[in-house]
Amino acid sequence: MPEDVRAALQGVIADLKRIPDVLAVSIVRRDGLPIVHSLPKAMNPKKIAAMAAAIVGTSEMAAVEMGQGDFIQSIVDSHGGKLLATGAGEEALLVTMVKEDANMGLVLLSVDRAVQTIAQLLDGDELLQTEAQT
Amino acid sequence: MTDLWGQLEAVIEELSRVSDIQAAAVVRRDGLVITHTLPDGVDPKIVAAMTAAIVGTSEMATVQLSQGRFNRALVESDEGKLISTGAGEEALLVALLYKDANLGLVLMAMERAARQVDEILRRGTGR
Repeated sequence: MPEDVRAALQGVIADLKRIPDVLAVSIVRRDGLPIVHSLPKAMNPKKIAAMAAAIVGTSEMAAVEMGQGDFIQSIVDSHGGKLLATGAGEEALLVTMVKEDANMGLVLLSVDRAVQTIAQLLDGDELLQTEAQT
Repeated sequence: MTDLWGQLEAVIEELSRVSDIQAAAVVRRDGLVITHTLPDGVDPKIVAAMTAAIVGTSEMATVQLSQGRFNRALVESDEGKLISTGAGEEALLVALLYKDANLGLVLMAMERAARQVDEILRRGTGR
């Protein structure tokens, strides 16, 4: 991935991280590999990427099987917080972890804006595939 | 058993009356249908299986990422939303929503319905 694309993606997640309720942000490939992230040290980026891809895989299957159209987003709500996995273009997912009592209106608005920017940055960037394999 | 089933049916019929909820169902955690208000075009077996799959994956993620206990999963698609939540140890409550649903209202109604389903099933099994 060219450095300017990586920097632009890092800019997108830095913007999201600025929202007080957002604890961690990561951009991952739909097959479960991390692309860029801004996670606290205690969180394993590979694990988060793998879990997000698993959740999205199951959710997409459900959306298709139930005739609900294309998958947009999946939110897993737990006692320790919420995990949002949102489609960001053809190849990527945006993973956002927020506090349990987060202001979801604000978070969802920012997430929607972020996935649009990520899709623009990544789609048509064929170098992404070779980068993620190394 | 008939009584139990009637009570569960009453709970989800009441839940389905919330205007943003298209249909609702109570399913077992292993993916089998208990009772539902799904329209004719939607296969209840598929809904039950998909709900169990979503909750299974979400619970795995919750545990793996040390997020405490799983509350609910929301899948948002082009044409609607699907909310799955636990209703006691054995059952799940699932609701299909219209795309532009008012989530605050729906989540409140679902929390209440999930508590009722839990109570009914506890009474039914004598726990």
